[in-house]
Amino acid sequence: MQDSCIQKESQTTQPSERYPSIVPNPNATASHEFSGVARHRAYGLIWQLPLACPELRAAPPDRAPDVVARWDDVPPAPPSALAAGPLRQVTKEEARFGLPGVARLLVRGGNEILVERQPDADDEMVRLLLLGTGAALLLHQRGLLPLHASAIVTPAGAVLFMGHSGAGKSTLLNEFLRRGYPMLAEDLAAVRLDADGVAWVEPGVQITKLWADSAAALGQPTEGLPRVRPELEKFVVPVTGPLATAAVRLAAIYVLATHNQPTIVLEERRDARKFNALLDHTWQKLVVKRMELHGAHFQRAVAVANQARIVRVSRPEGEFRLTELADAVEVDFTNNLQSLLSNHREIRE
Amino acid sequence: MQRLVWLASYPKSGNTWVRLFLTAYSHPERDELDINAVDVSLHAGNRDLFDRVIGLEASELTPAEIERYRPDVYRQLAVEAAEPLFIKVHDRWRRNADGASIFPPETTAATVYIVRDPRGVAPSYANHYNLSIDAAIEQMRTVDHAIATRPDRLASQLHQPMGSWSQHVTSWLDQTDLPVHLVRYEDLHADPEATFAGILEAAGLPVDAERLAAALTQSRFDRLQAQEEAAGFKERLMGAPRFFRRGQAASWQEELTPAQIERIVADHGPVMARLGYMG
Repeated sequence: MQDSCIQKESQTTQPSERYPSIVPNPNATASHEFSGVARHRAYGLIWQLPLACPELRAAPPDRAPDVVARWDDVPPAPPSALAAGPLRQVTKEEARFGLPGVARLLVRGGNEILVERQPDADDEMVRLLLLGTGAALLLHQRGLLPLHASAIVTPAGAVLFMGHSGAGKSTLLNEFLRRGYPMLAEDLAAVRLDADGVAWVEPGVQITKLWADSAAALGQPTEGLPRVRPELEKFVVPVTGPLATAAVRLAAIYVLATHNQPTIVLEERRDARKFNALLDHTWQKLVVKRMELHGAHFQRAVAVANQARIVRVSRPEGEFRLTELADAVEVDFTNNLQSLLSNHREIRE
Repeated sequence: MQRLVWLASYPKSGNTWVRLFLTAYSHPERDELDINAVDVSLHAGNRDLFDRVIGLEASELTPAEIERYRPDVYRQLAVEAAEPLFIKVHDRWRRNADGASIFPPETTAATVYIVRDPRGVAPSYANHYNLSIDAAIEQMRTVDHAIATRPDRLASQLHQPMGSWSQHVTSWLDQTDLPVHLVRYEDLHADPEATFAGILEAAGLPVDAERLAAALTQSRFDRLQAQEEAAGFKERLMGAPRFFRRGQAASWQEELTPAQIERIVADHGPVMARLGYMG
């Protein structure tokens, strides 16, 4: 276990210790009630944000921000911009995303986000845009691989649960947190390749979100928990166990899927299938080529495929069988611990 | 860009059979059809497709917001499609709150609506969703019935309003945005050559008699059934004993009680009459 990067948090932690320090921002516009900036740490970066984000850790006070987001008007896209679906326009340097009624984002240079907020937008939706779509676009610009996955820390290294929306990433994550594994990230796992080509998973959003039925399956009461949005029976579940505070070596990725068979089946992926799984579950996949990042993205996916164990986990559709599923995954990464660790040594050498 | 071909139907009305036929027809070079490798498999309620095109997860959006952006998902598909793209639809035809058709006319090359006698649908629907026949009849009469509506969980597909069987049929046949090529399941059985050729023509595909005959042979019901028996079918739902069940147009006469038949006719008589199911 990489204890050095794990911070033990207990149920008695005061919210103020986890939430960001708020300092006045002399540049803040007068049009919004929140007149400060929040400083957070996520994906290995220090973020200066125009609103407090309880889903992210506070940044240490002494570090300059790597990313600055601020309220500002977003200029129209240049004629050279390419549309990626109806809501995004991208060039090599800039990416725009606008959700009518909520906000328009301009993400550029891998270090700046302008947020043009609509008058009636609520904070929850602005944060969803900023920390979901906005962060993923920025991570692409910075050369990280943003995977649609949740992540924990195991003795073998970082283990990811990857899958499309509804595959069960958050439910499985919560089960492993209950088993005492430290949390790395929810929903977006950012993989960074260091100068030696070694893949690291950065701590990301460290709260979890559960739909009512998953919470019930986990025995997690939802009374009194905030909803992700008032209209959805999807709750923000605080994490009371240990949180990783530094990047962890990538060990294995479990791709979650369903099938119409009665059994849970684990199949190790090899060769092109490993690579395809990574491409298929990349956040903001549609913009990659339009931002001329496909060559670099392809190379990163190959590098990650070459050093991670990737296993497809198929469970019967309609039944989660949480304990059995988590047991099967736990046995898999535990049994493969030695080979995962030696794989790490080989890459180092 | 008019590239999309909607294959719209109430569930269990022959949609999969048509998609399997189209797959076989599109690949004359293959000797056999693999029921688990159907290229005509794009589904209008596909959640991942929505997430990719919109750039924000539908799981963070309300049903009304999802309705608002669904037409954009299909516009993007139409822009990217190099040739006619078939999309399976179980939704009823409707507009969203902005007044936009969920299935945009400017993206549409053709709309094929497959209808089946509701007395034939009921036993098949019951088998597919692992319900009693009475429960199936009840869902088929429920106004505004929808797929994937539970608010407490994330369904694998997007919320898809279907309506009752009658509501579904009339939504597609009475709208005026999209010209509809109507196909009766019973005619696929009674005169497969002409009926499947009609689908090809409607979709703007060339009709080649030899290819048509080969594709019909490959997608013959007993062959589909044999393949499912041997290798399973991934579109079968967990609770259903099998997907390819009987494949007969008139088997309802043995499967329904007189009371069940009477109920279906009471629920859907006017629309059944319109489709020639009452004579």
